[in-house]
Amino acid sequence: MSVLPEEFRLSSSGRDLIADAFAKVVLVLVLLFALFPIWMMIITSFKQRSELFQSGVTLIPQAFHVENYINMWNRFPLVDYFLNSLIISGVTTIICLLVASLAAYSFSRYDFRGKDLFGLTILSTQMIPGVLILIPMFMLFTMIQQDVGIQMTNTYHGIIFIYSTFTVPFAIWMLRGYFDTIPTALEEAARIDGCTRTEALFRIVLPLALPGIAATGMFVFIIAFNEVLFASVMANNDVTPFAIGIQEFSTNTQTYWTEMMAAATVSSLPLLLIFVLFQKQIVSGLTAGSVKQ
Amino acid sequence: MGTVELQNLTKEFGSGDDAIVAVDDLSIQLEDGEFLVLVGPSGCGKSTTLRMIAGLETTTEGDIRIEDGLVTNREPRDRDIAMVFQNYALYPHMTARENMSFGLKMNSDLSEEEITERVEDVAGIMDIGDLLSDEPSELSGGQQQRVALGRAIVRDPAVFLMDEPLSNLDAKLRTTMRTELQALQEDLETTTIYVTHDQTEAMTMGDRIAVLNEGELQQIGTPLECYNRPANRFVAGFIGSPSMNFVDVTLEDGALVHPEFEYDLSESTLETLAGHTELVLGIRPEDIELTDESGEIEASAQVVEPLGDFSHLHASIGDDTVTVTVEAGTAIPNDESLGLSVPEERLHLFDPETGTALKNSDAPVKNAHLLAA
Repeated sequence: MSVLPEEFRLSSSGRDLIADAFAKVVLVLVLLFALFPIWMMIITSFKQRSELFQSGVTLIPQAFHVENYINMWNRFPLVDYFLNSLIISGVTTIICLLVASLAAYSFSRYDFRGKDLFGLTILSTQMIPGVLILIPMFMLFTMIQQDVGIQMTNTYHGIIFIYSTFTVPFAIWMLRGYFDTIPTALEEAARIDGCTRTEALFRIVLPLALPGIAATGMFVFIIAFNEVLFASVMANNDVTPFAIGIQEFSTNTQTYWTEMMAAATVSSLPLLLIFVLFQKQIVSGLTAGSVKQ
Repeated sequence: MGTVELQNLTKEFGSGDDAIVAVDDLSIQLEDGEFLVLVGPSGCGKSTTLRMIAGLETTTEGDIRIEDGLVTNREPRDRDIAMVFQNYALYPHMTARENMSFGLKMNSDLSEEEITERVEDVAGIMDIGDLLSDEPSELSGGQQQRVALGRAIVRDPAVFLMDEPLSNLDAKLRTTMRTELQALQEDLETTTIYVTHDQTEAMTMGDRIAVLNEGELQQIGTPLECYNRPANRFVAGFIGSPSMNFVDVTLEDGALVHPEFEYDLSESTLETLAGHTELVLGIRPEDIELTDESGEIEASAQVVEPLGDFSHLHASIGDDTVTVTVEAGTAIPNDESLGLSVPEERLHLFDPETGTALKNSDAPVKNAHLLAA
């Protein structure tokens, strides 16, 4: 029993209002925390070098200094780096989705010998830190180069191969959950309606799995686009991706912070664009299976 | 000709010692245009049987023939069947029209115009003409059900397969759709195999019903045959709502003996029971009549369940409880002593070990509407 008299007690709508306001304040704080580095990246890209090294942090640049965005292209072959990144991430995503969607489908629909073991093995590859397989991978590449005569290091196919080794298992797990949410009765109806198993997969299942495939594809793209460890060792010279190239702004004598931030801002644009374009699919892909169909 | 023949059909899941027999040596023949209901409790193998006929499950042994052609190893699309699923299985990314025309596009040489014409004809029959441009998510459960039926009908197959198509509908709609579906099947004259666990659907819809339990066929016959001449105790208990009353009795000196009563049997009945002493007595609730206390069986009233047009009275005979169908408005106080009387012609007697029926009710097994015709 509350000791407060009736007229001082909160009505249930009042309680809801306070709970709502509290939740919003927490969300805004989390959002600020998440967006702060991005804001700093953007404003630094508009600062002059002299302003950056003044004591104290300024949250708003005194003047918008757009030269950073022009000068950065002249200092290093950023366009090449950028294209390399797009090629590597794009091809990795395509290969990964092709392999993983078929694998995930068979995981979801068929029973085969060793299915559980295979599933666990795939999952366990995600638990091995990349740095552990870096040297074995490098040795493997060197062996292939020496014994088979196929150039592997510093090539597109080499780095795409490496990225596929850890994005495919991830994508299989993500898509498998998505395929599980698509009722098998739909395929059975299609098979009775005149489809072969393959036709049922391409005409019924894949179109329905599209949100999941889009979400998975985006994650794979981001993983490949942001990868630094393997790229720093095995993707140099002609195939240097943006994530590595951008480090060249840090030279022996000085670091071109403002131009580096300008380059970083530009490099975030494609990912931002993907998020905006596929927002609906990504959200529904991430929440797949959370509600009863 | 949409005849269907199942010959010694067997399905085992798993292999070796762990194998589970889902369907055991099932043989059924369907005439062209017949409506057969496969009925039984969960896990009795009825859905597995239907899925084998559809080609969605492989058979372990036995043959399936549709229109006299062996289809056991054919793909579902090559069997000339259409199926209605429990959850309708409408393609969510297609409109009702696309759902209905999908099968014709995939499996026939019809032109675009012919397909449109057929879809619209069937949509007219199913009363879903206005819904053709809607996607399944925009339709109510009943409307989805109609589109799913339409999708099957438009194919004009040799056989319809229906897997509990009404179980997702609410009670009222289910009753309406039951009648509608039955009328539709009579109009189309397409051979239909209908799976349900609901004995009311089985009784009301089928030309014949096949009762399955633990993968084995218990009885196949008209609904009234299964109701009045059950082959065994399982069928007797499964068909009919409320179910048949069962009481354990012994046969002594020409009478059925129970701790609470003795029931004298006629000579002819005794002849059929020769050699049996332990028996299970089965009585349908509607075959029991309330008499005064001097009736053949003494019982005491427990609960009356009024259902409007009639009531169910639960009464105890010693440790056994029986259900009696009584007139609406019958009011009997708790623990009141009753006399129950049952005509001998309506008694069922079963072997307690094998469950086989030794004597059945003599109630007629011809459908009233067939007699009138």
